[in-house]
Amino acid sequence: MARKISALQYLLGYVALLVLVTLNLGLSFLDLPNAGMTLTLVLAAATVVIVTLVFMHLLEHAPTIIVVALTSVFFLALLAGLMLLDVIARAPETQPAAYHDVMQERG
Amino acid sequence: MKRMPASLLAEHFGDLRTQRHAAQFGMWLFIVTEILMFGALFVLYATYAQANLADFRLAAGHNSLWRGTLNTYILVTSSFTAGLAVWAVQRDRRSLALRLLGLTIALGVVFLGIKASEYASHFEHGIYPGRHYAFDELMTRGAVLFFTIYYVLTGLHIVHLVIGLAVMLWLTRALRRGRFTAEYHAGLELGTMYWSLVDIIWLVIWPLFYLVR
Repeated sequence: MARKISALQYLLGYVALLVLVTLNLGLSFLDLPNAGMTLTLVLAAATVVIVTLVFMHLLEHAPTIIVVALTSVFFLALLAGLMLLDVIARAPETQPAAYHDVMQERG
Repeated sequence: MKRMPASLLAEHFGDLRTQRHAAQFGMWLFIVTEILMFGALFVLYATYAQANLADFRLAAGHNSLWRGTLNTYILVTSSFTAGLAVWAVQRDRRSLALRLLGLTIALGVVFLGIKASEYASHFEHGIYPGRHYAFDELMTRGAVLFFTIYYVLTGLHIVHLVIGLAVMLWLTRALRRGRFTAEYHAGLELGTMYWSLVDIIWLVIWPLFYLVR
């Protein structure tokens, strides 16, 4: 028999989401140009994980379904990682006009 | 009168547990396609942000932080009420589940209202996508890119939310007619999963378009 998510787990998930969203909002008022963006995305990722585990019931689903979910994360990371690697490492040299402002800002 | 589980079983499944697992598996495959589609758009955002970071920060400052944040709390709460509706059906508390689904629908409609007011405010200032962009205060290439991606992503999200509302209405009707029982309620479970997917998409849109400033 598959285990079911309890009302307490739903409530804890909801409270954790409220805390994370509020933290993320508070973070946006601090002057942390680069670290702030990274932290914001980390907090957003944490909220996504909670919604997936609790409200999309991944906690009570079979291992084969968990494999499907993790596979999507892997392919998304592959897509984003390779694309961003290309943009960061190669595009400034091959598309100098598009990166003119950025290069000027960075000196 | 409660329907017997046997009547819910499709003939090509041996038992309800296998049928439920197949339904969940299919739903997750669908969700994966959605994640990859939105993922590609988020990568597009990151690509343009890399080249126009200063413009993106300035442009995000022209989005309404309070409207975006309020909508985030609204969607998070709606995921909670949708999840609790499943919990209630699992315990045969149908009237509670109906009230929770009603609340979920109401929160979705409020979200749409707030989003509509935000779009109206943008249009007043000439903030349109692509070549129609006419916001004099911030006339840069990066701002045009930012707001074009903003309209694509939030527009696509709204389409998903409206579909989610239709699904919730259908679930409410089906629940009222007794189609979901404590023993078998895969349809309700899948529908609320879709609603949470809509929530997840917004939880990524919100920081990218409202908090990065």
